[in-house]
Amino acid sequence: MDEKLYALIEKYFDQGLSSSEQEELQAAMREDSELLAAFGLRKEMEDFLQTDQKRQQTHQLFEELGEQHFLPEKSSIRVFRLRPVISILALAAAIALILIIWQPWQSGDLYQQYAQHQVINLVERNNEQEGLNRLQTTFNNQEYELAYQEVNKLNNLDTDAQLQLIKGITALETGRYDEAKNVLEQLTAGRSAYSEDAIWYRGLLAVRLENWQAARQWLTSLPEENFWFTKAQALLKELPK
Amino acid sequence: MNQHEDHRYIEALRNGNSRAIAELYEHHSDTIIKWISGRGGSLDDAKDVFQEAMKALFEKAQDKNYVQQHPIGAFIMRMCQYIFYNRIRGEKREGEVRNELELLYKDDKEEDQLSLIVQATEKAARVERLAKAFQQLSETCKKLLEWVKAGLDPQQIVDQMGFNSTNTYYRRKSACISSWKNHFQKLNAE
Repeated sequence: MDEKLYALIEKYFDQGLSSSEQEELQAAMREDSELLAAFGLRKEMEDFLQTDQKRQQTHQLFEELGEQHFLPEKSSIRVFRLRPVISILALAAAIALILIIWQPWQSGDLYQQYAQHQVINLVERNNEQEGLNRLQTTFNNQEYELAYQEVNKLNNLDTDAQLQLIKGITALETGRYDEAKNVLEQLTAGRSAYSEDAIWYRGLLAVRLENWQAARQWLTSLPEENFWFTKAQALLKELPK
Repeated sequence: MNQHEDHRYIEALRNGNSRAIAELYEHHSDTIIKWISGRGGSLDDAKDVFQEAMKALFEKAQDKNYVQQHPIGAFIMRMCQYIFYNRIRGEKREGEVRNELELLYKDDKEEDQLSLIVQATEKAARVERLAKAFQQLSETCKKLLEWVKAGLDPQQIVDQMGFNSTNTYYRRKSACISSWKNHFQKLNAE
């Protein structure tokens, strides 16, 4: 290790180098990767010193904004809370294996292939607990007729976007297509946290009705960051021309 | 290089424009809460992941050559997904998430974007270790380097620290930097 070269690195960041010193350091760094890495780390440290006051101020701002925007009441956004990743992925792998062997889509029913709804979890809500439990159980058991009846009994159905989406799905699953369309239409026009999910379901509704043009329109309008985006892209490739 | 209109948020992070930074939280925090909740994560998980993504974005913004070419929302979302899956891997559940990670990136045509995300999160992690190593310095070194951070010139620091000359300052600073480097390398080796 040439101490003189390391001293030159230090001098570069402190007082600056003469042109001959700079040439010497550059030539040495071309030959010695360890010296080059040392220069890189020293540069990172210098950048840290120059930006750290701003970093600390900005991180403080992030803290304040985090307190404002990640509030407990927002946990009600957890409409389609999945079971823990472990069981879901294990389930997904099992389903994928079955589907690869069975290939049910060869029957041409794209809707059945893609309409795999997420498990719902409504137990965190306080009011109407019994009705919500029944809705959750029937929906997760894929008893959509019963789930449709349960969701329609709930008092806050009209004001709760989460329940509206569940109503839309159960209406779709039970063949109440006009009703499904009306509910999903309102959701897609609104600004709730479920408006994007409603786009996916409008796409599925169009697939169910074999309205391929509308399906294409809805599925392509799904934002890239939405949970259903990857699935929508796969479905788009399978739609009949 | 096409600059997206959302590049203004990168400028905001460079310049400390709190109004524009607040917009990032207003527009994108709910999506992240929902996405993470949908995978069994808690509100705290969502907050931690979002904050880590914002810190990585801040570090990326410090690169003056960086130009935002994509919508910032999709970029933040991808970054949060990357951080979230890495956290699960960190909890030694790698096998469980491998398929999902592959699915996430297999269809991602924006490979450059993914590489940017990886760079930004790694850079943020290095900066965090630098900050941690900095805290392990002696009080004198911390004080000296805090003056450097504050932008004082060498003569002002000589006066503040009571050194005899600027040469003493450079020598002490070099020793502090060397000590800081050692702490950092020890943290890297852990």
